[in-house]
Amino acid sequence: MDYFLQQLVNGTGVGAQYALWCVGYGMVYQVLGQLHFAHGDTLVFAAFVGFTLIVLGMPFWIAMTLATVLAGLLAISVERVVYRPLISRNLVFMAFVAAMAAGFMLRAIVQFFWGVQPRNFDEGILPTGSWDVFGVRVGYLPMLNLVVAVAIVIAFEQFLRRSKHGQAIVAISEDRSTAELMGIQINRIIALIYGFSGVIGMIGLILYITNFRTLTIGLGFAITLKAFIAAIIGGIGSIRAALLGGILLGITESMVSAYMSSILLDATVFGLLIVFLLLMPNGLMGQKTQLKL
Amino acid sequence: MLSVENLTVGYGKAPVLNDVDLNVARGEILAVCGPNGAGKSTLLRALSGQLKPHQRSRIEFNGTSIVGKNPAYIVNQGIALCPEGRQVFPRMTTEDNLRIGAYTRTDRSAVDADIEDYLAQWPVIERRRDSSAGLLSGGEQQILVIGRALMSNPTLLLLDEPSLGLAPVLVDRVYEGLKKITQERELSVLLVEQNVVKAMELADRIAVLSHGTKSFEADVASVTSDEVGSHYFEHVGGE
Repeated sequence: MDYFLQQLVNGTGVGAQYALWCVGYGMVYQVLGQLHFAHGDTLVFAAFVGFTLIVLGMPFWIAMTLATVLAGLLAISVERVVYRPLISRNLVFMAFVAAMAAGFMLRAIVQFFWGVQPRNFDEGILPTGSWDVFGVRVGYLPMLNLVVAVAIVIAFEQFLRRSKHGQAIVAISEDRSTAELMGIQINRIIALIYGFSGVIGMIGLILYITNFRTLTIGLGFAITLKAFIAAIIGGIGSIRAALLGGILLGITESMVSAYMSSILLDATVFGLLIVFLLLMPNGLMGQKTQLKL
Repeated sequence: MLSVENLTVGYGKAPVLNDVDLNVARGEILAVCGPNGAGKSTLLRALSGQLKPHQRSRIEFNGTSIVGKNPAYIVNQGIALCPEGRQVFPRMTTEDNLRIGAYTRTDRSAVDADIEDYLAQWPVIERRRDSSAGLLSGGEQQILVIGRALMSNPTLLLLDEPSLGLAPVLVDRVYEGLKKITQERELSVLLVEQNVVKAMELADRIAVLSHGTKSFEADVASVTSDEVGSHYFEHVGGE
C-alpha cells in the first residue's frame, strides 16, 4: 500500500509538469483548431538559451525568466510566420505538417549549437528533501509542482472569466466571426494565446529542470506528445481538463513503471491514447465537439 | 451619414452584389428586403468589414472612407452589425455577452450602467443574466444580440433579419423593442429583412435587392407592401 501511495505522489509531481505543458497546447487547439506540434521544441530551444546564460554566469532564476519570455516570443513567431499563412488559406492539415517541420527545424538548430549530449544543471536549485507522511515519502518537489500547476490553472481560469482579453479568448473560441464583430482584433488575441502557451509551458519545463536537473534535445518532442495525450485524456475545452489529463497521465506512467516495466511505458501510454480516441474522443471533461485536424 | 456607391462584392469570381448604391441619413431607418440569395447578408458583411469589396466600391461613413478596413476599425467608427441567426456566445452568460459587446469601450463604469439599463428594460433576459446564453429562447437571444450590438454605442446599427425563425408574437415584441430603442437613441439603422410588413412598420425608406442589384427604392409612406413585393423577381425571366 505504501508503495502504491509512493507512486501516486511521484506520478502526481510529474503529471503536474505535463499539465502545464498541456494548458497552452490545449487552449491553442480549442480556440484555434491548430495542433501546435512545435510546442515542445520552442520550449526546449528557449531552455537551451537559458542554459547558456547560466554558463555565462547569470543566476538560474534570471536566466529562466528570460527563457520564459523567449519561449512566449518564439511561440508567437511560429504562429505568425508558419501557421497563419496556411490556416488563412484553410490548409489546416498542412499547418499541422508545418508545425512538425518547425519543431524539427528548431531541434536541428539546437543540435547545431549545443550538440546532442545532455546538459546538466547544478544541484541545490530547490531543496530536495521530503516529508514522511505515515511511511510515504512526500517529496518537496512533487508537491511544489502540484501547487504551481494548480495555482496557474486557477489564475488562468480567473483571467479567462474576468478580464477583457480573457473574455475575448473565450469569445473567439465560441464563434470567431461574431467575435470579430465585437471589435476584437483577432490576430492580437491569437498572439496572446500563443504567448501564454509558451510562457505556461516554460514554467512546466523549469519545474522539470529543477526536478531532474538535465536537459536533452529529444525532450522537445516528448513534451509535445505528453501535452497531446494529456489533452486527449482530459478533453479539450477547459483549463481544468488539462490539469486532470496531465496528472492522470503522470500517475499512469508512474504506475506502469512500478508494477509492469518501464519498457512497456510507451506501449501503455499510446495504447491509452488510442483507447481514448476510439471510445472517449471528448476525453473525461471535454465538450462534445468533433475532433478536427 | 452612410453613403455607398458601386458596391460590388463576390465570393470567388461571380459577384453577389453588383454596383449597389445606398444612403442612410442620420436618424433614418432604411429597410432592405429581397428574396433569399439576393445578397442582403453579403451587403451587411461588406459594410461591417468582414468581406472585402471590389476596388471600384465606395463606402463612406460620416465623410470618411471605410472600404477595406477591418471590422475592429469599423466598430470603433460607430457601426455595429447584429448578425443573422442570433449568434450569441452560447457558453458565456447573458451578462458577459452584453459586456463583450462593449469590448472597444474603455469607460468601464459607463458600460456597467448601460448593461444595467438594458437589462432593466428587458426583464425576460434580466432573469437569465447569469445563465449561459445558449439556454435562452430564440426571442430572448434576439433581444440579447440587439443589446450586445448596442453596447458598442453605435450611431449606425446594421440589423440582419431580426425576425428570422421567431414566432409571430415574438417578432412583434422584438420590433416594438426596436422602435423604442431607435427613437430613444436617434439611431440610424440599416435593416435587412424578409418580413416586408414588419420592416415597413419600422422603416422610413425601403429598398429591394434582387439578384445582387437594387431593383427598387421608395419612401415607406408612398408604397404598399404588395408593391414592394412585386419588385422581388424583376430580373427573372426578363432579359
